[in-house]
Amino acid sequence: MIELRLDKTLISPTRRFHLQLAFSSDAQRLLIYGPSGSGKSLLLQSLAGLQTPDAGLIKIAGRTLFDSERAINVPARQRQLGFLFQDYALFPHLNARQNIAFSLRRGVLNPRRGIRDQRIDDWLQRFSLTDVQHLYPHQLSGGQRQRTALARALITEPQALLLDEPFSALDPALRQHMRRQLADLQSQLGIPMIIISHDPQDLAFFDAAVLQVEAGRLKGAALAE
Amino acid sequence: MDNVWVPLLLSLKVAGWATVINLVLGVATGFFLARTRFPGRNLLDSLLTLPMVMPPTVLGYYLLVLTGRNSALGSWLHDTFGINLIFTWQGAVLASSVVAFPLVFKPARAAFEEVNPQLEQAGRVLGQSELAVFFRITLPLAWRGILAGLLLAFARALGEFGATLMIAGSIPGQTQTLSIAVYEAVQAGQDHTANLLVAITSLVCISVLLSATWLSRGHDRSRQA
Repeated sequence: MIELRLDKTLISPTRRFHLQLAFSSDAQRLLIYGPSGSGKSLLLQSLAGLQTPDAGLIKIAGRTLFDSERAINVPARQRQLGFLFQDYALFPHLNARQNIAFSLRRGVLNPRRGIRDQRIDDWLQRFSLTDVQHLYPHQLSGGQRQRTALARALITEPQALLLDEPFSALDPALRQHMRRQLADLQSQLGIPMIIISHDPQDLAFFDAAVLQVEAGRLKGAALAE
Repeated sequence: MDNVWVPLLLSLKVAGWATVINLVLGVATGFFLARTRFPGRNLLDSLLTLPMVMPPTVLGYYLLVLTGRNSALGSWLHDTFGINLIFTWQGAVLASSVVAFPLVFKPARAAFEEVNPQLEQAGRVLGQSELAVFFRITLPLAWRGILAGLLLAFARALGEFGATLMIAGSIPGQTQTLSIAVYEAVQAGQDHTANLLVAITSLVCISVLLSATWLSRGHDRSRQA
């Protein structure tokens, strides 16, 4: 499912960080686990094309997205990956329906408030968002925001779904519920998922292949399949 | 009444053109300064702010020297496009544009810097081109700040006196704008005309300023939400 060789040095005035790791996995659920500052967000951004590695290879679902030797670097917009940002990155000037419809429209204009498309209605219904579809992100609850962001990513029918600390912005009572929902969704859709987390409870909950990252390196070679 | 309406219409025409020019150049400069890192960026920002602090007559003198028929730029404009800026309303537009430029690019830069880059990344992951990201995410989120700057620029261009007089002179019906007409009316002892002109100018300026304040307040409120 994923094959990865990655080399990236980040230099900022305060620190110099070196991410260097290589692994491959056929798991449908991959949990990249490590403390904050270990480089796992950088790793996920590299997969999505939001960061460019210095050298290496990225293959997801059979497509080569990056290969420094062959000078391949597929831009983020063509990688066909879903990305769930840590605080969801919903567009504040668009309502929930427009947010979900965002990718359905090409060109320089946003979808209108009342944009019609069966796929939008299906996702709204699946995530119980039909009643709040005309509300703006700041009017939605934490759970509704996350489901809106998920629907916005999944409506593009991505090859894989990348999730950056998907539960950290939720209050603890809701977390377990959303973990269950995400796991169910993954089984139903059969879409490969790569989750980043520093929460031991995610590790305990998800029946996933685990990749431990620390200080930019893989910790042990242990990859529990 | 012609001696009131002619300068008013001329002023609106000049200020309108200056605002349109700044909409393009000011917004582009603000975006460029907000999104690129290069040595001397802040020096460039300061240099571009000069028209705001320099005496308008000094600025007008520079423009006169720079675009006069004997200058390289002036003779090129004349020979290639047949444009003559000296003692024409186009010269007044140039003077007003330069004077009002900092009032647009500075708030535009600030507004662009406030846009969360993660929202733009979300747009890229959702398959959108850079152009679409700019027009569908960046610009709508920065728009209120830019609009407030444009209104101030319009008001400033409407009141332009010193630089305009230097480059365009005071030809009734051609380059005699509202604020220059006020000066001429007072000089000629036409108190009635002067009163009328002053009243109209004040009215336009106050309404523009109120709109700008109202817009920037709305800007703050949407950010808190």
